[in-house]
Amino acid sequence: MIGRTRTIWLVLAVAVALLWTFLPMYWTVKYAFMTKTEIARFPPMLFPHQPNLASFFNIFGFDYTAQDGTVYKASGQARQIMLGLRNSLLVAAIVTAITTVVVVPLAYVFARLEFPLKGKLLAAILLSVSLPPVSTLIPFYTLYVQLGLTGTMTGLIIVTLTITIPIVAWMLIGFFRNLPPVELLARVDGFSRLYVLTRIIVPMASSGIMVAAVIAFLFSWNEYVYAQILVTGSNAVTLPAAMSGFLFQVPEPAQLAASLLLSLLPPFVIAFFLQKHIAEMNFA
Amino acid sequence: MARIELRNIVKTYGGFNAVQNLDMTIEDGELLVLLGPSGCGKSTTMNMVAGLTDPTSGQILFDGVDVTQRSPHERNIAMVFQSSLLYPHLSAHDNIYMSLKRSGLSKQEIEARIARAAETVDVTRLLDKLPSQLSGGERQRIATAKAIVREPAGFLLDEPLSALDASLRLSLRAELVNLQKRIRTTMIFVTHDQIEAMTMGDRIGVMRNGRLEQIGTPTDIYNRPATLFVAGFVGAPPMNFLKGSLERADGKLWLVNPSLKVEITGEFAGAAPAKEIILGIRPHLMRLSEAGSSALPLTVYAIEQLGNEAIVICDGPAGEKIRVIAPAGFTAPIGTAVHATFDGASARLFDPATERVLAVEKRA
Repeated sequence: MIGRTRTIWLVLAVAVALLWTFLPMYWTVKYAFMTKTEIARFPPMLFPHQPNLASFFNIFGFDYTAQDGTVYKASGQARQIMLGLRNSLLVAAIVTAITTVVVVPLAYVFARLEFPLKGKLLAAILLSVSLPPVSTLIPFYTLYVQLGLTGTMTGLIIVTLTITIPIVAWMLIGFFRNLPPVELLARVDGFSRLYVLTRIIVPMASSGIMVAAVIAFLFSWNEYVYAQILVTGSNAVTLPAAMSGFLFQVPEPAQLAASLLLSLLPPFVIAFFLQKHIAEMNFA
Repeated sequence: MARIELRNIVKTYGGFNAVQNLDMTIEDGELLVLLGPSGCGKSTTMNMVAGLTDPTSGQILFDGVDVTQRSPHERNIAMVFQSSLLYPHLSAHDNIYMSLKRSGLSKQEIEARIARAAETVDVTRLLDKLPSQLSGGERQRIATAKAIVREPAGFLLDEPLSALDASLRLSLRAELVNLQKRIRTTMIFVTHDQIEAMTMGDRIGVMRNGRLEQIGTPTDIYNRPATLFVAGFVGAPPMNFLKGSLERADGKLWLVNPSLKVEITGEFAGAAPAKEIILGIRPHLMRLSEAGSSALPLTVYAIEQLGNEAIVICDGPAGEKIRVIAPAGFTAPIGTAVHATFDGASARLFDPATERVLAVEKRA
């Protein structure tokens, strides 16, 4: 009896959690396949009665002719969206690469070696994780204006690294700490520190490093605050900044939803392929 | 295979003395067990022999050559770490291979040696497995194969069996001793388990607070403990201790306390009278008896049946616990008054001030 009531509560709790996370997403997905008039209808339709791909064509800059002859014009944001998609992928890839290369040795040193001022330096890293991005926004902006880095991808990459490096380092330090003390074995076997890091620790921690890289990618991919201020309207615009353009024009909820869906795609693909590694990660 | 010598080794961490003025020699082909409670400096000592930790001062010699400044690899030592540490991402074969990767041997020679080492500890069928696919005992064997494949000058083991279950420990213990005798290697084995030390060591070095309390054969350590600590730490059930004074009367030496008067004969018969003394006597050298002036009055606290004998745990007259071995099947209700006697010749006397065994002038 007790077992059954517990099961019922568990199912209920999971249902609430799923509804909580997936309902807003479902609403967005639904919008992407509906027309403006369908969306405006009250009471709202729970699913698209005549799903169409008009907004997907529109955001990539194509007109779309429906079966009844209605023409849905290409979105004025199309150029920005395409540019944003390309830039976002580029920025995220570069940020991920630099973050990984910097953080692996950094985290190794903090996790496995003893040196003076270690505690204070570690606290400095953790402090920068806790800084809200907005607090450094204005200093960065004024600095960038003077250096001519506003509206450039380089500038955006540098700023994004200040977010990803501390947080990924913090994660990996924890992961490296939990590895067995193989340095002892390696010293008896006669290997150098560099060999230990590159040929023993890195392969041993590959799943942790992979997940850390994904976190860096996602942070960069999702970064909005800096992008909005530093690169909106320039050739270095990223997808989140480009999408925000929809908010300041004639409302096109279907196209906004379609581009949101587009921005969800890479994280989903990555998460899908890395499920195994994420499950292997043990931050305890 | 080498003779390992430690000369006046000191290791301090900040203000803490981990190892103090340690002198010790491990003979070629000997199995020395370093025994002591955690924090006594036994692992630090082993790490210094290995070259993983630099001594603050002192010298370490392998076959008379000073190796104090050499790396573990240059010393050609092999080590098995706690829980039989292995590279988790490498197969058993590759784990063993890592021991020889920096050796400069040819590929064929390395493979031949790996095959031989695997054969020696009977793990040939496990070579393709990852450490996570091995049981605790199998990991231990692979770690041993990884160590012996190097044909090391010294084979060091840091509590390798402590994470295993009791029956497995028992069989691996015998296996390691057998292996050590077969390949005749110098071995240092660190443990906090006195039974492990007694059963494995050619000699045992008992350490406490960074000092070597006593070094000797298991029989020596057991029968002739040099300090109160060694007497209490080695042996199961532990040695009993009685307080009293030493008095000379009628030309004989007596241990006297409010509930007991026993004549001391044998080794300590020539000891000088003293106000305070601690007498140590092993439980199996005591027996239950009738009341009398030389019998210790006790109250039964608990009885442990071991099958071949029984350990009667009693409250002594001064509140201490006294253990007496009784014949198998001995029973008595808890709280029963009993008496126990022992032969004054088999007791050991300690000076409570120095905690060392009482000095007796050798009679000519």
